[in-house]
Amino acid sequence: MNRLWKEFTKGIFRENPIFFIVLGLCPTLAVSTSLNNAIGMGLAATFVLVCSNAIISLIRNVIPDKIRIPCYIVVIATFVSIVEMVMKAYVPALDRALGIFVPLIVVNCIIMGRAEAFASKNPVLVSVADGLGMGLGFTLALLVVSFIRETFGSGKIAGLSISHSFEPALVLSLAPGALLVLGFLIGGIRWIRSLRSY
Amino acid sequence: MQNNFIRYAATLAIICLAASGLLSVVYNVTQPKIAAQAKMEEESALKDVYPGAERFEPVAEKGSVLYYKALNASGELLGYAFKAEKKGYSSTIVTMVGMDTKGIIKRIKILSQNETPGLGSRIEEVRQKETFWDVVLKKVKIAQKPRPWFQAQFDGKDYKTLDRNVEAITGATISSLAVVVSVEEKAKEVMEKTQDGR
Repeated sequence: MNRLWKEFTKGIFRENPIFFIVLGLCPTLAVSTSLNNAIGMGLAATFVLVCSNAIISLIRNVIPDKIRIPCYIVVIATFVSIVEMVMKAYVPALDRALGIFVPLIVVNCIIMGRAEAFASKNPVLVSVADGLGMGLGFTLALLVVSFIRETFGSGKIAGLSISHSFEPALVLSLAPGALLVLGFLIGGIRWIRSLRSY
Repeated sequence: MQNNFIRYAATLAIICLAASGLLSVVYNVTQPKIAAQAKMEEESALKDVYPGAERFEPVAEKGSVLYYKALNASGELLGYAFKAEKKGYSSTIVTMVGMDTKGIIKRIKILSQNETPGLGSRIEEVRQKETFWDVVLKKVKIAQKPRPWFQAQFDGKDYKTLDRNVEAITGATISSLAVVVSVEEKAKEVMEKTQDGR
C-alpha cells in the first residue's frame, strides 16, 4: 500500500512529467491555451496512460525484448482509438475542441516513456498507480500553464472574460508564450527546490 | 535464430489480433452514436442558419451534398443552405451558410476551425456581458449566448458585396478573409447551379 502511494504521488509532484522529467512538451504547448482544453487533454491522456501501463505490465514477460517497441505502440494506439471513438460518440464538444491532439497521444512521450521505463519492469498494480500519478501530474501541470496563459493571454478564465477593461498580452496565447511560461515555471520550481536543500 | 523470428512474429500477431478485436467491438458500439451526433449537429446548424425553414432537402452531386434546399411547411422553396470551406491561417474553416433565393445571406455559422487562439479564433468570439467574477462571485447565470459578432456581420447582406461589407478582425485578416471568400465562392456556385435549373 505504501509503495502504491509512493508511486502515485511521485508523478504528481516529485517527478512531475512536465516540470521535472520535461516529457510530453508537444501536447503541453499545443493545448494549454485554455483551461477547458487542458482538462480534456489531461484526462484523455491519463486514461490512455493507466490502461496502457496496465496492459504492458501484464504482458511484460511475454513480449520478447527485441520487439517491445512495436508491441507498446499497438497497445497505446488501441487505447487512443478507443478514447477518440468514445469521445466522438458521447462528448462531441470536447472532441471538436481537442481535434487533432487526441491522435497525437499515440506519440505522447510520457506514455511511451512510462511504458518503457516503468510498466515493462513492474507489476500491474504499481504500474497502474504510476500511470494514474503521472497522468494526474500531467493534467495538473497543463492546468497551471493554461491558467496563466488563458488569464494573461486572452483575458479569460475557462472561457469567461475576467474584466472588460483588461487588454490581454496576446503573445502568451501563441507558441512563444507557452515556452516562456513553461520556462519560468520550471525555473521557479528548481529555484524553490534549491532553496530547500540548503 | 529461425525460431526466434517465428516467436517474434507470432507474439506481435497475437497482440495485434487482440487489439483489432477490441477495436471492432468499440467501433460497433460507438458508430451509430457518432453517426447520430453528426446528423443532429448538421440539422441544428441548418436550423441555425435558416431560421423559419421547416425542412431541408439535400441536393447531391457526384455522391456528396452540394447544398440544401430550405423549404417551408408547405414545401415552398425559401432559399438555400450550404457548407463553405477554405483554408484559413492554420486550419480549414468550415462554415454553414443560409441564403435566400436572391443571394442575400440569412445567417452564417462557423462549424469548425482551429485558428490561432486570441487572433483567428475570434471569428467565433462572442461579446459576453458577464465576466468570470460575475459568474463565480455574484452567481449570475449566463443568459442566452449572444451570436458571434463577426458572423453577425454577414446577416442580410448580398453575397456579392461581402468583401466590402464585412469588417475583418484586427490581427486576423487571413482568417477573416478566408470566411468571406469561402462564403462568396460557394454562394456563387450555388446561385449558378440553381439559376441554370430553372
